[in-house]
Amino acid sequence: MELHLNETEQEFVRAVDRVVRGYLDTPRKDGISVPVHNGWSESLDRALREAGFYDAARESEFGAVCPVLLIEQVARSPLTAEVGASALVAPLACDTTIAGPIAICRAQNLGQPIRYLSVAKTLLILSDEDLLALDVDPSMINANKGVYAYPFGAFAAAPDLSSARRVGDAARAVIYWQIAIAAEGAALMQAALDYTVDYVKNRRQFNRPIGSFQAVKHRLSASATLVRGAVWLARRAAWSGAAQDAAMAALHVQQSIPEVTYDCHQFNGAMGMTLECPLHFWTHRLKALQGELGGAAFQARQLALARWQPCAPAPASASPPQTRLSA
Amino acid sequence: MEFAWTQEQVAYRQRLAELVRRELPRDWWENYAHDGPYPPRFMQFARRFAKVLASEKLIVRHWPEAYGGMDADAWDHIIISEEMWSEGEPRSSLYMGANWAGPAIMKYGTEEQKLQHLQDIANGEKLWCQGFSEPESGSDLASLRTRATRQEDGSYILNGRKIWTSYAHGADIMFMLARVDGSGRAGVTCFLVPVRSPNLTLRTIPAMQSAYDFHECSFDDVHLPESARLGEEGKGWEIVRYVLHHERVGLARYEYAARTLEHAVAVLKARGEFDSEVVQAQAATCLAMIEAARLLAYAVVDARVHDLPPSAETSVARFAMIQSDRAVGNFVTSFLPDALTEPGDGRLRAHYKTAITSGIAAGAAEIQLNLISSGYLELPKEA
Repeated sequence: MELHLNETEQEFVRAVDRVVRGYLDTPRKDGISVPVHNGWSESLDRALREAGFYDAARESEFGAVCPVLLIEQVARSPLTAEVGASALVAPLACDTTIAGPIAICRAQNLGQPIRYLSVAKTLLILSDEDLLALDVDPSMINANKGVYAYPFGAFAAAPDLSSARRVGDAARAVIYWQIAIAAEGAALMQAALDYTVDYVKNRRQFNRPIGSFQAVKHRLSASATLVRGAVWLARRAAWSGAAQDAAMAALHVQQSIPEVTYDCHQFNGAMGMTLECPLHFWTHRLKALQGELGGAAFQARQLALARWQPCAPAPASASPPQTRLSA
Repeated sequence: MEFAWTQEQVAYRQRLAELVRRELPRDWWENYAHDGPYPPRFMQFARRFAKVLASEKLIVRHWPEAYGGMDADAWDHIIISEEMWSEGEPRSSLYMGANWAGPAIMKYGTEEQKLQHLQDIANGEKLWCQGFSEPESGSDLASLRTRATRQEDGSYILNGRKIWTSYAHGADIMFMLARVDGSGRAGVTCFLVPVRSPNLTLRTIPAMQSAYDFHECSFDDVHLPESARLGEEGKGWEIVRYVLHHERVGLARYEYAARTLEHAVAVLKARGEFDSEVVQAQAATCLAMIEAARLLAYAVVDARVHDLPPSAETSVARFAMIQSDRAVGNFVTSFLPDALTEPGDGRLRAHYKTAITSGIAAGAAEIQLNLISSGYLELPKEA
């Protein structure tokens, strides 16, 4: 057990930070954040790809932990680059190289808006037991102006899947998709929490910082506990690549998002409701992740299946209690 | 980053698990469910169990060799904590000596105190209890009133009361705090007090979790030699912080919660009642909370292995443990309510009774949130 980053991981984080550092400011005009519905930054996405960070998972010295560290670092930015599918799912679940940016969805969701589809070169589709790759024709996609701060897109008409090719196993893709959701969700919650903590330290009401009220302190401290737990679960899942760990990490994140997001907005008050306040860059994305891949209900089911095989017979040692109220 | 245990650690865990399986009485959980690990017969069992542990040098492996340990690291320490807490802590309050009283004596004690106490702990000779809370000083520990009056010969006379003291009736030594002078944190001083001292009387207070857990301890002119004082006068608060940092993650409640959950799921499966997706989802939620708490505790252990100073991450881990313990208690109450009636299921009943204390013992949950807000989030103090 060694939970500190090793030297390779530390150097990786420093290298990513050198790129991300240039993208930490929110878009502003006259000192005020410019309202945007979509935080997509083609420039950040390109810079990360060209630096080779998305290939880390293919290198044995980096493994799957480094892509998670990459996701953590990029999520600090109010802007969006497509990292999870390109840096984690494709390298670890696909048999071949996949052109990015990459969107990913389940086959039953092809008719719905899909995260990153409006900017994607490839769509990965989980179809029964197979993972399929479909080249994206931009002329077939309607950009979706939603509330989630990601570049969503939807097919103008049902896509022709006859040209989709099998690139891997769906079960393996689910694992790395869950880890990507968990890592990005945890990091976005951390960014939203950091912004909020800074705000409540400086915002004064009743002649004192609002962060000095115990009602505020306790809820933010509870949120911090959820967030730190989520970060560690995502890292362990990346390290193990186990279905159980991945489902657990995604479940914990998707169950924590509503509480953390609500409290961050609550303590930023009306200002936090505005698009002039950068908080929405993180919380809008969190809301998108909350329902990704079937949401917490799906992850809970996956975790229960992986852990307890609900259909399997119980071990002989599990004797029922001797009395029952219903007896 | 590496999340795997070494082969040696796996073997150590198996050895502990086998030892516990071998030594625990068959009716352990049934008796535990009735009155927790506190009744006299449990304390007597703990003394026998301590001898077994001592014979295999398993009590203080994480201590330096010079004090009877094996220089094992903090991971070793957390493994024994997990294996003991998950089975109801058969060491009883022996763990207090090994986890924090001993280390505090190593750090702050005189050579005489080290000679007097450390070998006893390592050999499983003495059980400890903790005299911190008072009738008017619970979470606000710094307001404690028990007074130690210094005599001309350097000895002290103790007067006051301690309360909620677990294990007191069966313990040998109390690690306690008293005020020599001053107010607030200043003047708080640490003493090592024989529980059977003249003029120290104990009253057992029946409680929800056990008829034998809580005690009120009255000190009426209890005479203590100067050698009973640990550290300098007025340094008690510093020692308390050191002690609590060790205690808050030394109790592996997440492992107890984890094994209770596994047992509950096994019972539900045996009954054919685990098919519901609602039940499965609730179990999965509990498991995720437990594992988050486990990793947060491991982060604290990892920091200790790297010789980093204590931080508020200890409170983050502790709050997560409390939440997961509560979640499991609620899971059992929701889906196996009949298991909590007598005779029911010993393990589930035992956890149910202790889960309610989770947010109070070793520092209230709200105190942990205060510590997180000041030490981790660095939020401003109240005006």
